[in-house]
Amino acid sequence: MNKNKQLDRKQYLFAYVPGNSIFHKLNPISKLVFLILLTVLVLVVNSILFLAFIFMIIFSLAMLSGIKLSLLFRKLRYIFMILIMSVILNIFFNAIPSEEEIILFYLFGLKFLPIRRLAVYFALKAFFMVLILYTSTIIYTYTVDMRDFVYSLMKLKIPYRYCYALMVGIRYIPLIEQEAKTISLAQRARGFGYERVNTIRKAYNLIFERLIATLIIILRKGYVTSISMENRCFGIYKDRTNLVKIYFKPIDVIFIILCCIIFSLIVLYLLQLLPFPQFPSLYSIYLETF
Amino acid sequence: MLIKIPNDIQALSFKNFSFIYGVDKKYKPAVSNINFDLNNGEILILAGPSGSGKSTHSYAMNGIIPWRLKGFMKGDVQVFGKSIWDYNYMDLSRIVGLVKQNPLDQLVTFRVRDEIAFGLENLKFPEEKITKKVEEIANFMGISHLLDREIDQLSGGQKQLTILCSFLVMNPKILILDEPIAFLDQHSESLLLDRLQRLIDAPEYNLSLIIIEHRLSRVINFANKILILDDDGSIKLKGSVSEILRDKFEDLKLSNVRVPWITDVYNNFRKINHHAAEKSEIPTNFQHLLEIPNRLNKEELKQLHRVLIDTEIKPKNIEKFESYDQKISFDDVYIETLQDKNKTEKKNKDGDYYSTEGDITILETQNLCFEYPNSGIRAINNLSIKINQGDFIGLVGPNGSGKTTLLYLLANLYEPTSGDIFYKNQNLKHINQHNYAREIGFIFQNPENMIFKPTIREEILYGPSNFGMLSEIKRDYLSKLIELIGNESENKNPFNLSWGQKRRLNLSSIFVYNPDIILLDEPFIGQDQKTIDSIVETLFIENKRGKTIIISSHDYHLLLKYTRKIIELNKDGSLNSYDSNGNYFLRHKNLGPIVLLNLIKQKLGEDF
Repeated sequence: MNKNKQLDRKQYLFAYVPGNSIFHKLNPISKLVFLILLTVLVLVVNSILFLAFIFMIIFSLAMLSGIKLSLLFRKLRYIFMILIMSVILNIFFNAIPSEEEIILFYLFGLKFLPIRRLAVYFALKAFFMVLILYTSTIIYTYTVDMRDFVYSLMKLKIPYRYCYALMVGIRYIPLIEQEAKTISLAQRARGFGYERVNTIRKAYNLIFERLIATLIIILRKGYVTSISMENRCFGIYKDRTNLVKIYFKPIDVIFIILCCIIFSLIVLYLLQLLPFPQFPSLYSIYLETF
Repeated sequence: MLIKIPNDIQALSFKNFSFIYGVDKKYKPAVSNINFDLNNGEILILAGPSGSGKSTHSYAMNGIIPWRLKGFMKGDVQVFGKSIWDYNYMDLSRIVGLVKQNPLDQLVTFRVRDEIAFGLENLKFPEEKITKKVEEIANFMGISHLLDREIDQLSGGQKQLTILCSFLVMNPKILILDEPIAFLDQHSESLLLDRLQRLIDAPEYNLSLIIIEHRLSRVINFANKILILDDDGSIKLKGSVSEILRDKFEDLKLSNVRVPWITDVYNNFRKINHHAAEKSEIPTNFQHLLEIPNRLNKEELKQLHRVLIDTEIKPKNIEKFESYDQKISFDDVYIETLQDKNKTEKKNKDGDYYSTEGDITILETQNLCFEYPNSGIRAINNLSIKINQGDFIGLVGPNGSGKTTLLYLLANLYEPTSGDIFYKNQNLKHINQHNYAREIGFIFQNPENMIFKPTIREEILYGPSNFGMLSEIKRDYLSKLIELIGNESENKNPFNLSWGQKRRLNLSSIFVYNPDIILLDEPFIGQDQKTIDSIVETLFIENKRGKTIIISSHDYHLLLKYTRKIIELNKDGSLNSYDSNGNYFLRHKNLGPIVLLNLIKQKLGEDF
């Protein structure tokens, strides 16, 4: 067991890394608009191949925003494993077993292991949807300073109390992590955690003891923070002055307009209102192979 | 919105104030029957044991009581002649600022400028005015160069100054500082105290200050009044600083505070030679104390020298320790090293090690380096030291010099990036980690970081159950360990203990499995004097029983008194010095008692 592995301070899944990419230069709100449009798009697209095509674009955008390939793979590996599991489970357990449903083939030729068309479709669709949203969120958090994000929310007229709750939450992440690490070291210092966690009781102890100790410390910190904020008249008025200004630059306006145009075109294309050929279905490609 | 405060009325007045937390009047009052006044512009030191109601006082001054905390209040608290009931909460918060001890818990934003502006933004000041006021206060407190820095990049002292500025910018009339230097290293502490002095000297602020602090010597120069609370939340001692130092010093010593060592030495000297002491007035600061030797003859100087050793350099309650099984010649350990620099010092050919012949090395590091993954910065840099069995070592260095990291490495909680650590000549890489953990008792900075179980008994037995040695723990021994915490039931929830009791529980929890080496990371932060004394005495006794102790602390006075050797780390994690206690402190001549000791030796010349 490498004890130092957990000390890597850059292991956060979603962490801002300063840079000069085009995505870094954009306003957090512009990127948020992009994220919302993308989410809507992913929800309305039905074609697996089209989803794969969107994923390729998002992947390219990740490269454009300066995320190294190795880092992206590292960040994606766990979700990728979960998704593979989910695809397998979807295929076997989530399909509606009706006689009309097309059976693509029988796994290992066994009659009780039919692989149905609809099951494969739903599994792959879920796979690409999650992958696209997850990767785009990584791009977002990689290129957005959370400080700017919170102030952007205030600019969007979201009540500042909620925005500051978020800001304090973000400030607390490294503190909570530090406390949790110290507590796990304290457990180890008194002999706990050297053996494998191979019983439910051990797992319960490991999680529960660590959780309770962390929670108590965080509650105390939270109490002091709230006192300190109230002492500085936080919440006295419905609105407040903000020294930090989040500006919309021409690049943001162009980006949002571009996003809206592309989104509209895609929707028109999906509704078959544009004179372009539709993406072939995966099923038709499958059939052509026989 | 400007609140006008007349200058000619009392800033604060507590009249028969009592407060009970919770919903039942039968609960024990947190504070009871408090009466005191503070004039505008005065500075009060508030001290007392943990749980004596210091925080309750501060909450009652700035409106958290009664507006935010549930309970029963009796009597009244008046702020500038008006009852707290007649203020609204936010107005009172603006007049009375409260700076707590840990800056990290109070910072809300990401940059220094945003943090200082936070209060004024809430008060809807215009942007131009906020910018101007923020720059003014940052200039005044000497942190204008930090305004655009990220808060995470600041040192502890700078963070505390940022918080202080964020209150000062709102122009409070009363400022409460709750143990403001508890988390700071020596450099940061000096920085903060220097800026506080600047603030006090500035007539434009005309602040009334309440400083909650039990180490009186740090802040006594600023103060006009002292208020000491008792365990039951009542007032034990109150009066002006000069009156208490002159007439009630013995009472002050019996209170749960660290009395100013300058006054303590003078007072003890006066007891044995009243006539000589009366040649000078009671010293109120270090410069006054340094003038005293000039007025004494050689005999009197020798007496003062003895008093200084007994008061500040020898461990306290020495007679008690001498009755322990191992007879210790304290003079050999603590005093001769102050006189003879090279007597016990031996270095290897590289000049790296401190070693005394005949000692058994229990821990050794060879070219030890440690780097946090992906940080690119070495926290520990090429460290080679030997630690002998039975050593009592103080670990010092500025914040961020790697003291905690070194302790973690020695406890095998981190793995070295390069270099080796040996325990009794065996490389830690080849030792069973679980078995090694049993040889180490680790005390973390925050007592709550090492409490996991729902009862005191289970908590103490946590280590033994993990080490598979529950059957070895005898009932009598367990009872003794529970007694160490105080008169508490073994089934009590440890989180309901007082802060000091939690620290003593931590000690019991490691003593129970009888480790060879005890490592302590800043164990005194936030602890009252009684707890500090009891911890340090317990450790001292354990050391005399053969335990090796390494303690990281900024409290140089305690280290001078109790440790045998000092390891000092540089900011870059490399070794600055590793030396005997006496040699170290003689070389670092900025510690008050040592300066005085040297001065006396210099005056005595050959007669010493």
